Amino acid sequence: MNIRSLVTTGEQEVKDLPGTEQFLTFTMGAERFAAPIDQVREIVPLHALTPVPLSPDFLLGVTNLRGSVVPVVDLPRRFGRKANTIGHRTCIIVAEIPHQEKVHPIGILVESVNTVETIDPSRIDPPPEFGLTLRKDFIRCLVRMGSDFVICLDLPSCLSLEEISSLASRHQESRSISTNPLAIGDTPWTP
Amino acid sequence: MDLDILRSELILESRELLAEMETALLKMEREGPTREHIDALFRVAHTIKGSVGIFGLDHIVAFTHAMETALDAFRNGSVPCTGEHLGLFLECADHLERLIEGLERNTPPEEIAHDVQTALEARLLRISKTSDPEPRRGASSSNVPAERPPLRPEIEILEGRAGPEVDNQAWHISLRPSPDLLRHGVDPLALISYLSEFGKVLAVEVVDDRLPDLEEMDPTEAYLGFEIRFSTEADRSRIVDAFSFVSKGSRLRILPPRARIDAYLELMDSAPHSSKRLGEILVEVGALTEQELEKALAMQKAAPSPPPPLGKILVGEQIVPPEVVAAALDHQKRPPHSPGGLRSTLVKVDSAKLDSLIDLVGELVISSAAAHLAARSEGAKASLEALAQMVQLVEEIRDCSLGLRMVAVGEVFQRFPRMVRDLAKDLGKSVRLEITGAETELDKSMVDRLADPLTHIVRNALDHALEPPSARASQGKPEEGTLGFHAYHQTGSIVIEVRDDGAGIDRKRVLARARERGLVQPDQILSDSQILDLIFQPGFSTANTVSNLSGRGVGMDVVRKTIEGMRGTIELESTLGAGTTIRLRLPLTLAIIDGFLVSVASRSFVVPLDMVVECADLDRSAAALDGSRALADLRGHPLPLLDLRRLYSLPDPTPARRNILVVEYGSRRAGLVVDRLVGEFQTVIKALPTAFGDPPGVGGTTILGTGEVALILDIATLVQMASTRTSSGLEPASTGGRA
Repeated sequence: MNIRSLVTTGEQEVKDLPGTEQFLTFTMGAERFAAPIDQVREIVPLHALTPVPLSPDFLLGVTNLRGSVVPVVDLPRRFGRKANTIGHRTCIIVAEIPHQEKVHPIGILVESVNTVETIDPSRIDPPPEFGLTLRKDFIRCLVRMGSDFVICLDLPSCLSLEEISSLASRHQESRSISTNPLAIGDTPWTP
Repeated sequence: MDLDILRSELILESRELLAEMETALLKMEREGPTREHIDALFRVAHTIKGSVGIFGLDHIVAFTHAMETALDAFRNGSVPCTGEHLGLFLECADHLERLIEGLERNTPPEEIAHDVQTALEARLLRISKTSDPEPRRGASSSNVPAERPPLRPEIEILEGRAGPEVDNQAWHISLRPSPDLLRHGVDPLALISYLSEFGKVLAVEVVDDRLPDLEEMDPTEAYLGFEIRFSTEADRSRIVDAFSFVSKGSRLRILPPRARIDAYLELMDSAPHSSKRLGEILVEVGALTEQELEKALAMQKAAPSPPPPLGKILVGEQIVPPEVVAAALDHQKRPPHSPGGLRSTLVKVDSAKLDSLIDLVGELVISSAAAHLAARSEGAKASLEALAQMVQLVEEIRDCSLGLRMVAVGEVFQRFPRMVRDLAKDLGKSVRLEITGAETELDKSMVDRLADPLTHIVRNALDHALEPPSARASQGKPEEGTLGFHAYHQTGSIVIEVRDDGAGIDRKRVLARARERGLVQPDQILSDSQILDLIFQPGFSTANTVSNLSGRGVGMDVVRKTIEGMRGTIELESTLGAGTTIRLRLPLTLAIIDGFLVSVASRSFVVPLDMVVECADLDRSAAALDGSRALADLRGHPLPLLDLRRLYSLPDPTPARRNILVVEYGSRRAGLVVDRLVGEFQTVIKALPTAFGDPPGVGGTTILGTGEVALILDIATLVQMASTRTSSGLEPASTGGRA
């Protein structure tokens, strides 16, 4: 991936040095991640979550974002890693994901939001060809922060609605065949 | 004035007019041409011509003019209107539609089927030529297209040359409409009120001397003349333009402010038998003073005899030069157009504005519910009382604003007469179309989405269901098949039935085809409704021959998907040899419903209230449970049950008392087993986000007063699940996992 092409030219704040990029860092499943700031719409506290039945486990449910109903995902679970633990710093990062000519808000549950960092291009590396524990297309780049490498996620690809909704449909199909969701009388009724 | 807005209005209006024309033509084909219909056609052609004339769209003007000329020949009776002519006019309407579409897309005129236009114009000209035995003003008129038609009425501007200036700062307009002004769809009242858009109408006096006795009066004829005193900053061309829709044969005379007195004389002279009356009118409207009138009359007497009408030498006699008119057109505001009557009662609103209004009302409903909840938990009695009234008002606002989006379902039906005619002709079938309930209203957004499925159903009916006349005759049926569209309201839904008296569905063929396609196992036994249901399976088609109309194997499954996407259902009834009825049942609106809130495992679910039949205590009816089957006995009737806790694997322990919510969809009932019945709740429907796919039984989401999201249950699916669960059927789930 060409890092140069990743440097946003659009709505950077005036104080930005030319060529630098801003990243939001946050923690999910006790692991530090980053995302380009321009892929994040807002950060909101976690309010009531309503689970949607027959969904894959990484789809936590829906929440009310100022009158719109927005899905919330647990990305570490989507990646097959350790799920988020909900604590007092838990919140939701809202990203906007394009799908079928529309932009859909999606909430990402995170254990905590850390900082916004302005990073010089020299500290941004393309994802390596091997040695990754994450699907390569989910990674936008690697960012060197201090002595650490932080994975910067490509949110539109991690949250591809095409993929997520087909996973959800497959899950629903498998559930309605493997179990018998309709049964009521198979076991005694009475409590 | 924004030309783009005018243009899009022109496009919209022309389409409406074309639809009108098509309706009239099809009616004429069926019932034979009448004067009234021909007039209607004429009016359409004329109005479009007038409107496009304003934009200088000469190619359309020429075409509509050719249509008009031909129609005129029918109107004056010199050529009888035949079926062949009607076909030609249908083609013309199609071409006009193309021209309008070209306008919309900014296609250069010469790229829009130019050869078709030339051919059509030549055919139109043939009609008008046969009408006119005498050569029409020189041989050159046989050239196509005809020269730009005289759009204008006879207009004179009288300034006067002799006598003192009249002390009158206003314009004086004298209008004598041609007798057929009304028949051309121009309403003089609309003209006058249009004037007041750029000036002030100071006085109007009606000249009724042409008005006959009541018995002799033809209500479609314009008898009344008008004397108008008008004050404006606008220039003369603007005023002239305001009358550009007055048909020729009308007489319009305009006297500028401070015209000389002989201009008024000229005006009076032009109506000799009533000149005295006219003089009085001029005084009445304030154009002249008493003294000025006397002076004028004196001047007239003093003139050398025989008194040549003064007008002969007046400047004003000449018709307004065409360039003045053309220049005025460029900056002209759209003149009042026909039919004038609709203008005052209908308001055109961008549908996006309506949508955002509905959204806001939705928010209002949610927040009023929140306020109510808060007041109740605080026990604030006064607030609760005040809120009760507000909630009432909010409900009314909700109903009103939803009503704004309701349109007649006839808007979708409109396209079918033409389609059925063309298809029937192509297929060599004879079909009568029957439409009832076209005025039944439903949500605008659904009307748009219904067009494709209905089109598909119509094609199927014509292609497969209705037999050719010979086949029908041999079965003792009338040769003419009937295709009916019937719309009506039924308990919170709108039902649209498409009924044909064709061959009906042959179950054996359907079953054979389904086996062939592997949709059904060879030994599987299906009920009648299950066989009919096969038609909606993807990739199913019973047509032995694949025609270009339908039968490509894409169809009824897509139709069903579209209907279900609108929270609707589709039912099919068919009797072999007697016909098929397809019944679409749709909710009235997609935005807000009355819901019934229930809770299962501390989670809230909403059921559309109009599908709730009653509530029952589970424990009492459980006593009557039939062994291992999920059936309850509700006053002697078996009721299939569906446990939401188990359906959705909800975690909490089962409470001691549970309830049954009896729901109904179509003709089927089922009982939903829930923990708690909460009560009625105004539900603003929000779609379930795309990410979740399409979980069975979930129809959408809504936001509760607490700010929490609740799921809306899709009762159609749940009822189906409950009943397939209790009968052996196609559903693999029902036979699969019994442990």
